[in-house]
Amino acid sequence: MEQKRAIDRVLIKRVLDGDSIAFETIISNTKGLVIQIIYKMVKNPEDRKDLAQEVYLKVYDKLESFKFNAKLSTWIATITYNTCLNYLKKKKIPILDIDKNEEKELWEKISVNTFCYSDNQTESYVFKKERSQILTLAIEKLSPLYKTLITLYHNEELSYAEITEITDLPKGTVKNYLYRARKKLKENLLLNYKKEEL
Amino acid sequence: MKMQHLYDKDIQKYTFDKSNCSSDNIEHINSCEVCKKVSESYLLLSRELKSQPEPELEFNLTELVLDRLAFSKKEPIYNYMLCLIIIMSLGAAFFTIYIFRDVFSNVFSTNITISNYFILSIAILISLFLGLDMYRSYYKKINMLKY
Repeated sequence: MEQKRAIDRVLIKRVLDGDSIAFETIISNTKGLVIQIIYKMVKNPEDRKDLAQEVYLKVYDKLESFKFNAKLSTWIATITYNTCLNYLKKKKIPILDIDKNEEKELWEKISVNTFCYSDNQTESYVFKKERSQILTLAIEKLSPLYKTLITLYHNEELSYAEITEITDLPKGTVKNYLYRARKKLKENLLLNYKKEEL
Repeated sequence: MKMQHLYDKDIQKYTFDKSNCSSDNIEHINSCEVCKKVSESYLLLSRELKSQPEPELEFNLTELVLDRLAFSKKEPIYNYMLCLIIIMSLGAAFFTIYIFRDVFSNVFSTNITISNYFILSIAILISLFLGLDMYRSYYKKINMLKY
């Protein structure tokens, strides 16, 4: 962790001294995370391209104000998340569609038959078909915030603390949204399966 | 140990956040095939999510960003040029005043008329207006860069 911070420090100093290669290194180190967030929150390909550039221009502009309280990648991810959030606000796209039944469903006790049946179905279906494609379709149906949280936690393997920092949501809320997102994702997978079966 | 099946949320807690899961729930899941199966299905989902390929870019992000930043890298040279032009203009102005110093001193010392004041005040007003306009456009550009 300390070693990573030291590397970040050196890179930032070099960028501030006008070294473009150092900024290129920062971009290639953080590009994956930035793109993941943008792709999960924004659908339009042209807007994604513009936002990705906007993020790094903001990073370059604000680099001097970076206080090393967090990892550089987390700070860049926060800028990305906020940039996307502003974009969604401007376009009047809701970041989260809360289904009134969701909370109730989450607390419903599992039914033995349903779960045994549905789990086997999910499992076999996921293994049988082109898994990545199916999952992509199911993820696409989630709201932007759920998609982002799932990606940050499962793909990027960030901790709850880091996700909290990026999204500025309380830890409990992040956990709660993740529970709902996974459940919804599982339901979407089942729905795809049932549709294909018909 | 709990005899009833657990809530979905508790099963997810066991699967992904075991340190915050109650010992009763852990005990139940360890001995309940149904709840264990649900937990395994979430683990499977998690594994599948991890193996999802990263989105591929159809453009070279690094190149695009660096191209746009090249503008600000050129700024120091642009600033030197601007300073040079300002210095040369001031030099030319002082040189003209020096050459025509007799004419100017006559205009402002001997023949002070209302028309002289009029010309002078218009010149000051125009300079002021141009200066303010330049200042305004400069701040507008700076704010655009700051998003």
